[in-house]
Amino acid sequence: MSSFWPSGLEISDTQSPITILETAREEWETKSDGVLTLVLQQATSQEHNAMIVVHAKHIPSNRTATLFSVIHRLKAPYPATIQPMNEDLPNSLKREYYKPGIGEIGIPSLQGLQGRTITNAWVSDTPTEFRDKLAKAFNLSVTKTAILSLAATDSSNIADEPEQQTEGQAPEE
Amino acid sequence: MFSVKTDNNLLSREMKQTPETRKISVEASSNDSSAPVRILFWNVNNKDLTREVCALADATVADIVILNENAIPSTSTLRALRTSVSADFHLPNSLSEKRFHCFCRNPKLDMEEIHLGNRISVRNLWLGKNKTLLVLLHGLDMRNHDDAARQSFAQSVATEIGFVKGDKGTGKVLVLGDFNMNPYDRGMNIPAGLNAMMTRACTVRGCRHYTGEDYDFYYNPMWGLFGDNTQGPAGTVYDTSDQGPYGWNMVDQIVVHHSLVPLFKDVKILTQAGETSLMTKSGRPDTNSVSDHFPILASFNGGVS
Repeated sequence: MSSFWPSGLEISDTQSPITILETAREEWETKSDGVLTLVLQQATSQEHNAMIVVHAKHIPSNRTATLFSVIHRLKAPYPATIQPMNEDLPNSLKREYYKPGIGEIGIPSLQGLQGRTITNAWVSDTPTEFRDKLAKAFNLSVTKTAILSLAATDSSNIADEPEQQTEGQAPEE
Repeated sequence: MFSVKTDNNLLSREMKQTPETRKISVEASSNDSSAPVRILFWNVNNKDLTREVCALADATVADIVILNENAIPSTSTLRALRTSVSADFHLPNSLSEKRFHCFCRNPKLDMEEIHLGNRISVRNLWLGKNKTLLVLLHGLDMRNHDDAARQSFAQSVATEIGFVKGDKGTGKVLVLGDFNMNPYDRGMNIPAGLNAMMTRACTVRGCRHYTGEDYDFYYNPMWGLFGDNTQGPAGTVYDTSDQGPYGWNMVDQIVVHHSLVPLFKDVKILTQAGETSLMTKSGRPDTNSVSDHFPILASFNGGVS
């Protein structure tokens, strides 16, 4: 028998993205013993949509890193889309990347002749879907490395290394 | 064999002059608290330009050297700077070294990375007693992103800078880097973008009121370096493709928050690194031998507190 109830919809669950993110912030503070938190910056996008920029904060050092942003229409919390940071890594450091085959390399002048459907994997229509995608966004490699960098204390200097040359000598060519 | 002088106490130093280079006069060493703070920025185009970087740092007595698109490990560059220029150079703490390699000669300037963002890195910089946020920026490239995308990016950067100002408790901001935009591009000028004005006088009012909100003014001194009526080259990148219809582009820039304008001394485009010319015979960046970008040197009064 057919079901006419929209799949995945629960009318008892109407949490907005900002409310869900506030829950995430509480969880972060609890699980990190108060060392890390989320800062939720509310702004307006260039297209005049509501935008929530999600920053991670290392409380002891007051250092911050931007993780991703969430965009939805001003008075409609859904659909909401997550915009992750660009993963600015060489392919050799990516866990997974796509390499097009020879047949897929398009000739620029021919591109755009045919329409194509672009799927945005980060769009959510319901709170349940948003929670699922939010968890994925927090688990992206680019997000996790930003969080770990925040928490790490770095002193990437070579001050303690023995000098190969004395000051004033020219380096080898 | 390459060699550069290592005398930090040299009081006056001139770079080699060519018809199209301007004379760089350096009044004092980087350890003098009354001397200007000098910040050198260069997009080295993923090449190993360590020799040229050391020569530039030495000739300009730069307090801070910032390299963008530096393909070699920062520790290698640091070792060369310490050996050839000054043992005082160090790598300030940073969250990531993906985009910017930053070297500082004086620990009192700080330069620790306090925020890592989308193509930006924010450093804590002390100009005298002024706690300043130095935002290092690498804009979206012109080949793969149209004007609208780069304008949108400028707005997202402005939003991010707004967050950092509030979170770190200071509005004194410098933005430096390869913006991949010209001073006249919309993202540089619109209120919700970088809101950067052509002259110091334009910024005196402090902010622009637009659609119910106040937007802080920035001063963009790069306007003053355009064209034939200035000393030195007419821009930092030469490009006549469809990305650069004007020939010269001024994509390497520094913009100064209105509150820091009194401390701003000058900015110069450099075409000479010690004995090495960074330009071709026609006065354009020597892309084949060096970089497709000229370096810039910004100086601020206020010294080191």
